[in-house]
Amino acid sequence: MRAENAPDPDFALVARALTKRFGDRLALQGLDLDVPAGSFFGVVGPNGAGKTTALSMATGLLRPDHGRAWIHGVDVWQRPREAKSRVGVLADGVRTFDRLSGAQLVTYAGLLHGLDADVVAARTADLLRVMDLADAGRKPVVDYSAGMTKKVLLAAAMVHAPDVLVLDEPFEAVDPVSAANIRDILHSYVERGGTVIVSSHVMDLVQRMCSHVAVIAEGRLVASGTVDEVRGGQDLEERFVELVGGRHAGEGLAWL
Amino acid sequence: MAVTGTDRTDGVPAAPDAAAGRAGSGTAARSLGPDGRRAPEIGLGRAVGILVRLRWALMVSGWRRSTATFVFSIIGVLYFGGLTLLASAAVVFAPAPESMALRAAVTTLFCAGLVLGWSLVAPFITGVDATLDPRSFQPYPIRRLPLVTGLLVGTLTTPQGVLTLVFALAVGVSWRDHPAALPWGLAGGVLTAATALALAYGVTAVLSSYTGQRRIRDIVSVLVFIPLMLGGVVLNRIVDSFDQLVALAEPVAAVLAWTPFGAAGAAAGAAASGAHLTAAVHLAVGLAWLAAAVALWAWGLQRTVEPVAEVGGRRRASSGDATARERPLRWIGRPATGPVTAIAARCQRYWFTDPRYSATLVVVPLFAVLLWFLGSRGDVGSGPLIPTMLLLGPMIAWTMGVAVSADIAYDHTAFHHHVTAGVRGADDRWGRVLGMGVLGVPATLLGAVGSVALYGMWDHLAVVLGASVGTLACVTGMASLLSARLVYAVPKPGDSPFATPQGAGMRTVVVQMASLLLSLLITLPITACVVAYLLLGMTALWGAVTLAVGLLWGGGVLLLGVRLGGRWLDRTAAETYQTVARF
Repeated sequence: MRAENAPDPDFALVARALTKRFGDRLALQGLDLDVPAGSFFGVVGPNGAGKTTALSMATGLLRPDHGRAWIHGVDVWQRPREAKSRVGVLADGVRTFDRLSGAQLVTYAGLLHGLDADVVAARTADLLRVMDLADAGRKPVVDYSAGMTKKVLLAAAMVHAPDVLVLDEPFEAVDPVSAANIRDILHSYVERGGTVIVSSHVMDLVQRMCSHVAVIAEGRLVASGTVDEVRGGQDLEERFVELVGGRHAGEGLAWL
Repeated sequence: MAVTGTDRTDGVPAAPDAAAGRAGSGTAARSLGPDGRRAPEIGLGRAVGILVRLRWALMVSGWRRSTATFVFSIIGVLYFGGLTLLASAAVVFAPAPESMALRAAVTTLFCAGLVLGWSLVAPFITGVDATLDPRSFQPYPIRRLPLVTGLLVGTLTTPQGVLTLVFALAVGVSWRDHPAALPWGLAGGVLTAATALALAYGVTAVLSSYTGQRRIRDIVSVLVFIPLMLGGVVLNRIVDSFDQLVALAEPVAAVLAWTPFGAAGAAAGAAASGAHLTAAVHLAVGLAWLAAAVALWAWGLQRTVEPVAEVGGRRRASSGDATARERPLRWIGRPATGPVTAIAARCQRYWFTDPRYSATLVVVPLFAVLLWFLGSRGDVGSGPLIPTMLLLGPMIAWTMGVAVSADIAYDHTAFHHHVTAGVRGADDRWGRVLGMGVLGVPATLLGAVGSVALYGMWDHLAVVLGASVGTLACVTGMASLLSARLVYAVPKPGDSPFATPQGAGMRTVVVQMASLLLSLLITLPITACVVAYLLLGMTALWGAVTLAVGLLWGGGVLLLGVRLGGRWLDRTAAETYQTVARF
């Protein structure tokens, strides 16, 4: 599925010709991406393929050298505030204001988005409850486990009720029970019309969880569509390896 | 298994049957380790052997892996080795004081300095070498005391351990002209070196074992800075002459001779004056302190590997809904209601809880002390000069204002919250200014009014207030503008405020120089008023003018700085974020 007129408001995210060069390395080479509204969209690719770079460009964290990105038809780099108000971001491998307590951090995120303080207070309580963090709400985030930190950051990304959630590796270090709870939350969010974009290494998870998937390799889009289209009857992982390459054939560890 | 074993009680050096135990080679540890009761466990002697070999194997493989590591190790050993040898030679060959009592005191003080240095600098500032993290021995059948003893001996064989030992022994060797004292000195030296290392690791282990470890370390890492900064000045004040210093040495040493710091070092002096029994007692006390340090280390280790279950578990269980409804994010006690107050509330919290900010706060009272010393040195009675102390307000103002320029860099990648939420640049700037203002305004006012009150020079209040508040506003405005895009490397969140940031380089220097020059430039109208006040007879009129100019000009610069900085940040938030993320 591809947006015909690039700034199509029916698409949660449209990217055209996103290009980024870091020194000698082309991190993205004209990446196109079309994320239909209401989809649970997985972005997969080997390490260094450009997943985080692409998502950073779509969320206003990294300015592309070329190309454009639209959130529901709003240009991220020309009308940033409007676009950003419709996106919730869970970035991977970044710090947070971890001397705030969990409740403070979620409140902070809500107020940064300009929400009314009463709304923020009510939603913060709801989010912490749903994430099983109600008891930890007073503790500084710096004392949280990795999984708890992910959850509180997810809460902070959702507090302004965005149309699109962009989640970079949301399940890393999250225990299975919490992961299942988070999946439930995300699914019901999608059922109510929201769009989730997740990047992940775990094909199995993407195959079970996502409705659509895009495969990125070496800064280009290799395949994109519904999960069933992309895997074409195969297991997603097999199909992924086929698309991306890089498997070693031949001698293994004979002595083992 | 045994490290975390639950059926054991040997955390304290009690076990009376242990002394009769084995022909262990350890000094203190023999009375500590009830080892050898179970067959498969690793005993004291073997543990020491294994750990020393392991230590060296790790070091050598580090050198093999990276030529740079090897080269730097060599350079480090040469440099510190050279320093140690120089210091040792100085201690050994320098002419000893005539007075036996003084000479004994000097020996004690050298030893005490060594131990104190290790036990403060290593845990709080540099951190200890964690090549052999005790936690990695958890799966192996070795008990804590053999483990700790082995680690201690292993540390003594590493370059820094050897150098410590060399210096401590040199202090002992300095008694070479007193054959009766020399053996006591050498034994004391070994004990001192061992105590220094054991205490350094012990303090670190205990610190890191605490559940509130982060906060304790935060506080201490800031507090330890105070004596470092003030030490020189205070000493300078207390001790007017070398004679006084000498006079002070003996009573101080007399006290230190019973503490973990100087007990072992005091033996030689006592023996030299014939008091062999006293020497023996000192050495025994030193030995006991070493044992205590090892026990402290073992105890800290126990707390690390057996974390107490109540990490934060003491929270009231039903805090959930209430937590959020009671508006946890507050600026000056009032709930935050929008982006500006939210950011101000967050900054305020960081000013109080993040040592990188708090370190700035510690500097403020230090200014007062420094200025007081500077001022009281000169002739107070010579004419109607303005006391140096009156500079306190402007100095505090400058420091607090410039602190804003490090704000985004302190956020590090947490700044992404602001970027992805599309916070307006001006809101970001105002929030940070207001957050700093919670402390900056009272501190500046307190400095200004306090310094005037100290001398009862209320005539000067207007000019001092004008200069202080004007400087605060101007410098804050300037910092708000510059730091929108010109960020520089600072210690990362969680690092010591005094850690040297990686990759700082020229960028930091350039930004800071520019800040300094610019702040001189933009406060020029205020400076001009102050100069006029001083030259034109210090009239009330010029005082009032200075106050008015300070408020108006400062307010204008602040508004302009925040607005322009906000606009700049609006355009370049992504680039600024990418810059801090690279630090």
